[in-house]
Amino acid sequence: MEGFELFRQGAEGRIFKGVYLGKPAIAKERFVKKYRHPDLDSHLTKERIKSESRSIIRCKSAGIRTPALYLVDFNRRTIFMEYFENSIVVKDFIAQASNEVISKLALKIGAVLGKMHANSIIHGDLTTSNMLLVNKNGQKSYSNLQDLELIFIDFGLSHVESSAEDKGVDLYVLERALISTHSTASEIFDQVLEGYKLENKSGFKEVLAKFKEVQARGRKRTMVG
Amino acid sequence: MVKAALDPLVNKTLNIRLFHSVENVSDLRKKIMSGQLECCLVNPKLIVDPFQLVVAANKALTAKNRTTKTIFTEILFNLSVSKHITKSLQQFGITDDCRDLLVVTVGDDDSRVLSEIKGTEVELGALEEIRDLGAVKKAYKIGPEEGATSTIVDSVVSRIATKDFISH
Amino acid sequence: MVIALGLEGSANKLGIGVIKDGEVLSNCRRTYITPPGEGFLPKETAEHHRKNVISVLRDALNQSGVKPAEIDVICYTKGPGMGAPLASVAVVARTLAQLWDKPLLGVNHCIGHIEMGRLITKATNPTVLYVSGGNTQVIAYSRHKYRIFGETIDIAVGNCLDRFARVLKLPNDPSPGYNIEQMAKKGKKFIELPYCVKGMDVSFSGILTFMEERADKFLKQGYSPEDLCFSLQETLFAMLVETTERALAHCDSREVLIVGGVGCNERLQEMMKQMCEERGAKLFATDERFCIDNGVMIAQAGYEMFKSGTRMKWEECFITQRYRTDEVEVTWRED
Repeated sequence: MEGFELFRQGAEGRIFKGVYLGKPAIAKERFVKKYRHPDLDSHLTKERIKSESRSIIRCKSAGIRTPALYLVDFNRRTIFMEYFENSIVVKDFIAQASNEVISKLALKIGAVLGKMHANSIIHGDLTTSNMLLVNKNGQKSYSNLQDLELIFIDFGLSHVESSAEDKGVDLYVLERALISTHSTASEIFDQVLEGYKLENKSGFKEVLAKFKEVQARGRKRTMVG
Repeated sequence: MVKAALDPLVNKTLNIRLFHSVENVSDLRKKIMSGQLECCLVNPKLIVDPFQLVVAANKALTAKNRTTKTIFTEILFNLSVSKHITKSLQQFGITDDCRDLLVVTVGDDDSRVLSEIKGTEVELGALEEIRDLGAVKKAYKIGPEEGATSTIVDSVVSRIATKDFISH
Repeated sequence: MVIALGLEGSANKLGIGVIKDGEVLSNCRRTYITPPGEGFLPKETAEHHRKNVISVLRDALNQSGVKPAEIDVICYTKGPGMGAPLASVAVVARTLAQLWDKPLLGVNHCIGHIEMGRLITKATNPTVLYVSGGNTQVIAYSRHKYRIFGETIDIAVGNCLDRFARVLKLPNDPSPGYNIEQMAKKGKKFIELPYCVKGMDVSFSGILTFMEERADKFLKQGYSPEDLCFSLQETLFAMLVETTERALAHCDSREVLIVGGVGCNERLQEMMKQMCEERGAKLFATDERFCIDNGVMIAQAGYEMFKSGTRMKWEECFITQRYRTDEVEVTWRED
């Protein structure tokens, strides 16, 4: 794409970085996946572009910072959106941060997630690769957590659902992503739950119960062959 | 004035100018309707920032199919979160009694349109005094929670970008 | 030099094999095949294993040319799997260990698949898709564990395919999955089915129910059984490839290894290969000799455990139907 350069190849598509309509922007292209049947591919792509846009807007309404959308182009299978300069992926941040800082960050993660769930937004793909920390003062420094704003991205698998079951699954997906990526996963997750409780007070008990249920289902699953 | 580059696919420039004390509004409207004048006149009250017009125009010019008749009505339609055409055009278009107006044209040269306008061109920065933020928030359904984290421009353009498949 | 004997019988395959320092000396297998429309049940499967275990063991020893005295360690599948078949084979392993006075090691079945795949394909640190009749997991190694990134939240992909084969009354010989694969090659019309991916997890039970309820209707509408097999495979495999890709992106990995019985499906391999090519990664897969449950994979994982110093007390050598991949401490990898 003219004026854009490949930034990274994410799980769902290619992310290009450039200037769009005069602003620093990301073009997220869900290119044709040749491995899947064309009908399935175009159906899924359309659904995911819609889900992603819808949740980004819904988050905004709820007071959760998400990238601004500049153009949603179904023909080019691309969303053009705000690029956050001076940002670091949470996965990389955790790898170099002290346990004390990580614990504070986890509280933040939980709070944002709790707020999302309180507004019936299920992210659907919670990993530390899908969260950014953006420096609020426009500096390329990530040493002080207080200067960093936490932003969730990659809403392609998200949906709107008020039931506790889906929220429990969302937490379960996050817990497992933490365990597989970070050595202090259980401490991080405990703090996430603490933060969650603060922002989703009324729903917390029920969601936690569902989460435990989903977790137990996973552990007890019999496997044959 | 502001000149903005649109999507590379479109490869056109958008020109945005703000005028005060325009005397021939009714005449201009007639000429636009008859197709003599190729531009779009926007009521500045609901425009927070020229970027809002850029996003709406860019959406109109990149679209495969238009909902309305011309590219200029499409820009007005895109500015509104309503899917109702007449309502959108009324909301963002102008009436004969308007004296402040934004003129939006597409292409390198907008001198032909300019020559028709009897008014005083001012810097777009003057929008800040004309726009009605309360009315903007109402038009785009932006609540107090949202204002705390997103800038109003970001909220507005994100809604414009998704109006065709999300009910706002 | 270490020689390991491996015995596997967690499902309907009975396999025994011998490995010597990464060299496969023998790999013998016998499969319990049920009539069309029927799945295998624990009691009958165990009976099959008991009836055949001595002759398969003889074949494996004869082919390997190894004498019992030369064997260093006896390895058997500790779990996961069906209780009765697991026990029927574990009893034989325990008997051999006592008879020949050899150390005994209980091996995690999934780890067996992974280590065999790594040995055969030479993949060093792959993201693993483990797909079989009982398992569907996306696994990646980190900090001395094979960690589960994603998995099915209900039934396994192989189970979904097997049960659909029963709906169409396809034969279980050589396996229901193989017969679906052959039918799917002739399918043309694609039917849109439910598609259920949650992060790196997948769910198949909704698709199976959908197919079970509507198969007759589709057939009456002019879709062929081949079209149904084709649509089912395309949908299930797209979900698997997508979740594997998510894990790959998250781990910044460049290698994918497919293991497990469903892993020998050529269409799945082809789709995975296309995904890998699109992101500059490499696919590693094995053929039916090593993909489908076998004894030598248990020997290989046991060999690695034994070499790294793992020993099990007699009391530890039991079987367990539930045994998660991430419960095993990987002592033989240094990365």
